[in-house]
Amino acid sequence: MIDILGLGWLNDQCYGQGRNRSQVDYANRVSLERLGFEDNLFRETIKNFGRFEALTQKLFIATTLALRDAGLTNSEQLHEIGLLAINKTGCIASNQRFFQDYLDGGRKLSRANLFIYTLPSSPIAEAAIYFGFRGPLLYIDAMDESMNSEIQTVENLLQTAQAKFVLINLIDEFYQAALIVRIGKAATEHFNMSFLPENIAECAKKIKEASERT
Amino acid sequence: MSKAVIVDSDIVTPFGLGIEKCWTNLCEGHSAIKPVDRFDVSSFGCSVAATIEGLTYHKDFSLVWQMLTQLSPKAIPNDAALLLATTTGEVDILEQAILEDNKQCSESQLSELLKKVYDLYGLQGKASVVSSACTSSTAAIGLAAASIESENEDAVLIVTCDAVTEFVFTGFSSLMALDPEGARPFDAERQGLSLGEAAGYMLLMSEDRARREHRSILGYVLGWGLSNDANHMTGPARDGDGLARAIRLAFNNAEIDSDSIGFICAHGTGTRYNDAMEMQAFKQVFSQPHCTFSVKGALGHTLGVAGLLETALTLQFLKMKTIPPSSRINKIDDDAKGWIVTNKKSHDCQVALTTNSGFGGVNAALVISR
Repeated sequence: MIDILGLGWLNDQCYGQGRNRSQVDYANRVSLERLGFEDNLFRETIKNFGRFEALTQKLFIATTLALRDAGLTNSEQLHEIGLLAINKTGCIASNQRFFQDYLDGGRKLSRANLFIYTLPSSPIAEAAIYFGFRGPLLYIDAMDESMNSEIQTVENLLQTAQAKFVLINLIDEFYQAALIVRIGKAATEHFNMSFLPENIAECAKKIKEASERT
Repeated sequence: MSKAVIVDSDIVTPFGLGIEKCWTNLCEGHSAIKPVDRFDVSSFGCSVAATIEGLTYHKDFSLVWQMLTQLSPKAIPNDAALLLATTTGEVDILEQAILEDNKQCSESQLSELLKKVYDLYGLQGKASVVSSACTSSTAAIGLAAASIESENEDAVLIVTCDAVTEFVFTGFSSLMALDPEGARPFDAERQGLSLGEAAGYMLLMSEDRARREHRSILGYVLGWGLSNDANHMTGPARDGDGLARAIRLAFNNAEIDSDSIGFICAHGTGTRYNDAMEMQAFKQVFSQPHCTFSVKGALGHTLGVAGLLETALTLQFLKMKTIPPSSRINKIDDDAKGWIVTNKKSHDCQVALTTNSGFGGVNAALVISR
């Protein structure tokens, strides 16, 4: 059984947190980079944030919201966090961008700064570098939708002391959710999901149910 | 708690099909690194890689599918959970789609390959893709062992594959990570890695089930450790702290100390920073030099496959009581003197360490015993 300590989420209209029950409309803001700066989401400037793909930018925002929601802020706690990215499409868009750019350039040289995003684990690797997460870093895509395999993986990491906490990043076309979890006795018992957007609540519910099954 | 045992494994490498063939070539000091003829490499500053003979490129089947279908597992139970470990999978399908402008890139998704592998082996259990750069299959072995020890599964099949494609070759070339002369891990004059390709599988079971089904036990996964440097997207942390953390986690899981380790099958890519980082990590963990080697001067860097390939070979080294030379070394780097094996060596021991690291600062370590 795992315990959800904090939840950060983001869709095209709003961002928010789980325990803190906050929700901020950002639909009319200029960019995610400006949003991060103006809403004081990051502790310091993130190098190259403007050049990150939108998916990675959103992942950073969901992650920082989840960390604050969980109250994990000091560097020693951050070092003990492992990362799991769950995403059905992997990095196919990055792969297309990299190879098309290489062809457009005359099939002579490719760009290293595009190549490094051709792994499905690259977005969480960027997050690990910025936030200082030193636990395991994995991309998982299970064939079924139950989340059982993903939660079993999380529990394997926690029970074998690979990490004290795991940050689960759910990456979808329409939203991103980041959940901080640790081994616990009662998954989400103090978590009221009714105020969350429907698809985010559905994710948290699936994790809770999978945790109860494993 | 049920122990995780390895009951079956096989690999296809540039030396051909089978672990024994690969082991023989490694022990004889051969290298499979040779000029690439699969695509035009004239603008890359490096023209060599370790590729498998006879594979067709941009034809009916992807490179990794052609490799996977050469393997013939003996008796995979259909209730085994499947972990597919890869970095880029069938990325040659994406290349072909873009080159032919037919936009069918989605067929190159890792989830598509997962479904194909699931059907190939006639499986009915859970199935997942696991990807963690060049530690993908190492991580998969650790996760499989943990699932068995926690009694969530009692059989897990790990399948792994990665190929030398133009996509990957040009990417590593852009990072200036390729040695034009071929990889020379732990050599003083090393300039980078050589790409390699391979595929393999490994079946892990609970010891109880393996004995019940009268399976041969090839070895044990005693411990595993995963960590991240949190330092750089493509380069390792120079102090080796991240890898040292992964090794210590593996030792803790295995309930052993460093004195129990007979030899180290290192990641040893041949890049200046990786090999130096590994030696830093080993010196943090071990109080005295241990026999260490890399197979990547012979087989190239097989990316996500490296961990499973090196674990399968480590089992063979333990069984045959012989460890291979680190091939292509002329002069051992000062950092690695006293550690690196340059000639085939008889070495009778029970327990070995394998290590891998990769992009994003990932590190992985396995403690394997026979």
